Amino acid sequence: MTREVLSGNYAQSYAAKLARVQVVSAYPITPQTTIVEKLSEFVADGELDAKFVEVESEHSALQVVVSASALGARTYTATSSQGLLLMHELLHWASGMRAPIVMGVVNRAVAPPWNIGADHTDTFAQRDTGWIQFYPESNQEVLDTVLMAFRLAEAEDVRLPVMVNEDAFYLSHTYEPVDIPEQELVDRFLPPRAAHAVLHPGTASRLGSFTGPDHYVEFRAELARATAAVPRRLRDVEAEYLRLTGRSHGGPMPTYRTEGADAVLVTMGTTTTTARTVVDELRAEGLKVGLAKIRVFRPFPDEELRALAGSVDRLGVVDRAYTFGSGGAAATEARAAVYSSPHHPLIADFLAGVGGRDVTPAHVRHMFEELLGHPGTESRWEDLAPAEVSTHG
Amino acid sequence: MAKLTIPEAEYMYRGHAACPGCGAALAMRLLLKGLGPRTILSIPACCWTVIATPFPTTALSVSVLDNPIEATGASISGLRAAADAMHLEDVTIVGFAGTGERPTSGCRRSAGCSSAGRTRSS
Repeated sequence: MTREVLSGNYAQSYAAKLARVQVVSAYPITPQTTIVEKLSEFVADGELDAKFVEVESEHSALQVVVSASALGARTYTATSSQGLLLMHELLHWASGMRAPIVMGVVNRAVAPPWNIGADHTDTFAQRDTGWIQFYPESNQEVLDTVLMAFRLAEAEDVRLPVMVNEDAFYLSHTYEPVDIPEQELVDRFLPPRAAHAVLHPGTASRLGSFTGPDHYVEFRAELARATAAVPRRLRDVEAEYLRLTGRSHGGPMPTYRTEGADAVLVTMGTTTTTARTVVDELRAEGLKVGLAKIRVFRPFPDEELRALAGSVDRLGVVDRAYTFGSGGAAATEARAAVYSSPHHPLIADFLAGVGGRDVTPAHVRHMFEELLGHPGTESRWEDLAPAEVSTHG
Repeated sequence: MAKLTIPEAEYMYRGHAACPGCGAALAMRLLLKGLGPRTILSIPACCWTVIATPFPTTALSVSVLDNPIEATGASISGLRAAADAMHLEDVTIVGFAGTGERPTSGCRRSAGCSSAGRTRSS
């Protein structure tokens, strides 16, 4: 093991190199670009034996790895925001063809107005495309999750593409010490991709194809079953990663100090780190509060959330993205998950950190105060500017 | 005078789903005779998608990858990259694109790909 000071983006690049990816496609977009830049250096320097394919759009970037994956290659690409939106059509192709692609996505706000700050609208808008979605909170978690993502994506009962997301700048451009496992250890964890369900040149084989309602339904049901297998498979993958590296990141929804809690905030990505310090402060002040992190947003951690709901009366979900006409995007999912729980906690919905707006400890403290006071069920936009500077004048 | 020969080997079988008298089916059958058994076709949404017949059948003895319209150039680039990375010998990768891909939405990418000499495109 070596320890390096890496940005979240470089953590992605190093992990893809350790995974011995065979085909990388690349199209630049801020704040993602340095991920594929670093990979191009690895290839140019002979440190990574991969084909590096430069393309003219994100739509092509994803098609290149979908097709490369169809021949059995291990593939990686990365994008952000507008680029991910342009990929939307191909996201469905990747999952529908059961291509175990791993893609780094730097979560960035969607225009207009242009904004390159952290925001989850880009990936939340892809939740129905059949991709698994991780939201790490540190650069170490980014590196470890990319390695786990390949194992998970290629597991025979899963065979699905995975997004490993990073909050723009808070992870993508922030440098932290990161432990990089030895190549030999990663090789043991992640052997070469098994060639099942791929094209075999010289034989009649077809991926994609077309079909009517007599078979289409079964394809969709298979996709649903594969997605449902993810939580169980992730537990196995994480247990093995823990055995090899001594590190684990707590499954689909790790919790923090939720024992006997009156109120629990549910966070994603980097907001979690800030909120954890506030939980410690409030606990020291005698308030019974805790934290849960949605680490895997797709598939949604229904079971974990229902288990938490059984022992807590108030949940506050903190969202960096709003589902127009409904509410905070993760909050709506949380409400749906908890509905079938015998115990129904109040679920409050906080919009915080949208478009890269700072989420400070003071904001988190305010959210806990609201949650412990008289929270309504309507969405609350934290730190909203007064009406005189609003966009409507 | 050179004698034109057409290989006897067939890579498109009877039972394909083209309309009677369809020139596209004939084009595919004859082109495949020239391209040979280790051909990988990447086919966007067009008549050839259907001619090859629906799942779970196929009228072709070669490998076929379906791709969305306007993505054939990128698809054959990805197949070529994977074949090279995996040292798959003697595979011929062909974008087999009909109406919709070449003259309209996908012309730029397919043409750019073939003019760069990276791979062949029908």
